[in-house]
Amino acid sequence: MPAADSARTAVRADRFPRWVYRHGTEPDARFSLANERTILAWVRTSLGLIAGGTALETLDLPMEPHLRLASAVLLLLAGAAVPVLAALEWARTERAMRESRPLPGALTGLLLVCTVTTVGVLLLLALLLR
Amino acid sequence: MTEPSAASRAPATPPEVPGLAAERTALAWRRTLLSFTAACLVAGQTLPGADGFRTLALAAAVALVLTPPGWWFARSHARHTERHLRTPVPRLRHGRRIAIICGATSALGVGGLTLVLVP
Repeated sequence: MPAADSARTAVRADRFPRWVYRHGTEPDARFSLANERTILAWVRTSLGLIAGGTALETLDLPMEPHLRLASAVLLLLAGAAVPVLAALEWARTERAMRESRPLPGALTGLLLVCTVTTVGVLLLLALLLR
Repeated sequence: MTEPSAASRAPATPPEVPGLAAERTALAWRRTLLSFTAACLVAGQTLPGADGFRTLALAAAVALVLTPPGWWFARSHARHTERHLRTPVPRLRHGRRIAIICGATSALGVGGLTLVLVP
């Protein structure tokens, strides 16, 4: 086995998370960096959800208060959940690339679509029922 | 003499030249850390007693506290990436950094939720 292949297949006990890095071989660094940029984009999305949820309550907008609070809570819940899911997806994607498997699907996108749609409906109702 | 086809000209395996990928990733980290600071500023407005001058003082304090470590973090991450990309087999070790930013963002969301629900 060539030295480079040997280095690629060596177990990387010092890398976190181990359940990702102890499998497979090193992928092209460009793909790993693209995977990293994707999770950073998810983190920024989550920060937007948190800022939106907080601003809804802080700005005291003229809306039906219970629906406004429900919207803020939903946004903040999604803001807290999205980074966790995105981190799991980053790890699953990294492992799939290391094992040359197809990339896993994105569940975080589904959560985001459901949250934003529900919040949109709630805010519309909150404006109509004020 | 005929021109070789595109398929025959293409290398069998693409060269692993990262190009600007590292720089794009470093910029993505900086954008994310700036967004984190901005989200902390917004979330700080829900703190009890944040009103008028106190709001401005709180925002300035948050920005001053978070900006230097964020800048240092982004710079050290970029240097780490550049150093590893110069090796024959790059071994990027970004898992802990990703876990930290995800954990901090999730904690910010939980904190905001608590502040909104508990008057």
